[in-house]
Amino acid sequence: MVDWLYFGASLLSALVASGVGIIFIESYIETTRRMRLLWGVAFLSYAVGHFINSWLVLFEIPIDSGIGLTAMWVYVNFGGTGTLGFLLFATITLLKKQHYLRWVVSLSFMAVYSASTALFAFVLPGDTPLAFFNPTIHNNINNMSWLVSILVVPVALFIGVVFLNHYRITGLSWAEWIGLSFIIYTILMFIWPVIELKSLFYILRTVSVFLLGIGGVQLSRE
Amino acid sequence: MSTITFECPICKITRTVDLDTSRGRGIICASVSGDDKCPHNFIIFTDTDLNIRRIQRVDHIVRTSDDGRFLARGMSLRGARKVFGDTLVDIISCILLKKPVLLCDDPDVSITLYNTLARIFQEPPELGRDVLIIDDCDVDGQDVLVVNCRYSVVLKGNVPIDAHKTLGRFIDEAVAINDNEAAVVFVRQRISALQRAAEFLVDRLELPLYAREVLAIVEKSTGIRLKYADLHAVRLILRGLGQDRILRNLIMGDLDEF
Repeated sequence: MVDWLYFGASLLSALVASGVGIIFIESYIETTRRMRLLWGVAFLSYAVGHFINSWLVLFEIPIDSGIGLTAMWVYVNFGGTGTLGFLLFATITLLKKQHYLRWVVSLSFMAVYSASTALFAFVLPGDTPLAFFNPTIHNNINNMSWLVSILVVPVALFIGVVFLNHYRITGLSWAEWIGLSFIIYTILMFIWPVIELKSLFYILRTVSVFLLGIGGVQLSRE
Repeated sequence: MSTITFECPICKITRTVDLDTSRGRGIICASVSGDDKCPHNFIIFTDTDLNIRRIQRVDHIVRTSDDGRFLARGMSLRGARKVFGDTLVDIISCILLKKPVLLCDDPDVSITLYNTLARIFQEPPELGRDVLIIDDCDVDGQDVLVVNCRYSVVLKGNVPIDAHKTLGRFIDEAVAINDNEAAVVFVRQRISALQRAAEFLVDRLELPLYAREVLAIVEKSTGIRLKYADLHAVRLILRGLGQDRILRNLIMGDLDEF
């Protein structure tokens, strides 16, 4: 039976992320600020990941099957590497003007993320001792999921803190909403791989994407 | 001091005006008030060789001062925005920064533009010093913004873009008003508010403060409500005033390019 909560939350996240992405791209067209283009692309990438996940849920494709695992890997890479890689690149650019730094950090993150998730999903066996970070059942999908959490947490936390700090200095509410959404997303990463808390995760994740949408709309209207 | 003689274009009576040609470079101006024989008021624009470049009749001399600042009608603000586009914002930014603006290649357009600019500042830029109008656009070795008025393009000079967002917004909101006088007053009030905020900070910002605290203090003390983006324009004015200490004390966010 289709998990309608899971499907609805994923689809809603994808739709909201699409909207946020379009808002940022429209804002880029108006202001020609390249950071907004990067954010737009990042959220469209996030939306693609969630559309893939919605498809998996709707058609009840087992995620431990070949096609299911591949689709999950594509999903976490679009939603993780794609989204956070772009956002990391854009955020570092605003803090440090050294061009090499943003390339080195962002590409390193993306390379490590893609390669390591592929390794745990397709190459290493499910009971590999390298998945020491996984406190739950050891199989390919869980190992990959916990690894994603570990990699996403510092990046999402960094982006969230940068935006909340901007709010602290400037009082701009869009920075508060965007910062909060990333802090909530960071916290969510700790419960994502826990199967018993999946429902809570889906609801809160949708809330975090909505907060981001509010921030994006405010920013584009500024 | 030189004396210029010209004929009133309306009643044909000969008029004279004393002009201090050492006061500025390029085209300068002087006011000529009506008298018993000829009741007409003029602003006369001449170059430093005392060639008359324009005699502009005004209803009354709105403002006169010893340093040659007068307010005459130029093109409408909407017209100036249409003709000069973002270059108009570049020019206003440079005036706020106290960086000289050189208008060249078409004195007629230049004078008209100067008249428009003069009206949107509470303290109009001085012709011959803050705004220079000359025929030749070739200027070497000077930190000036050179604007070719024949083609409405910036030929030379770094344009500070800090205040562009705020100034562009002011102008665009103003030109949406279907009344040039109201539009001019709208922009003048907002630029005055920025200048007042800058003056206030020069007096009061002794310690480093975050931008949002500064905005709150400015509003509480002066009643002027600014947006965060407006502080970039205030910073531009502070730069023009050479207030480096105040600039350091006004702490801005890192994501301003976002």
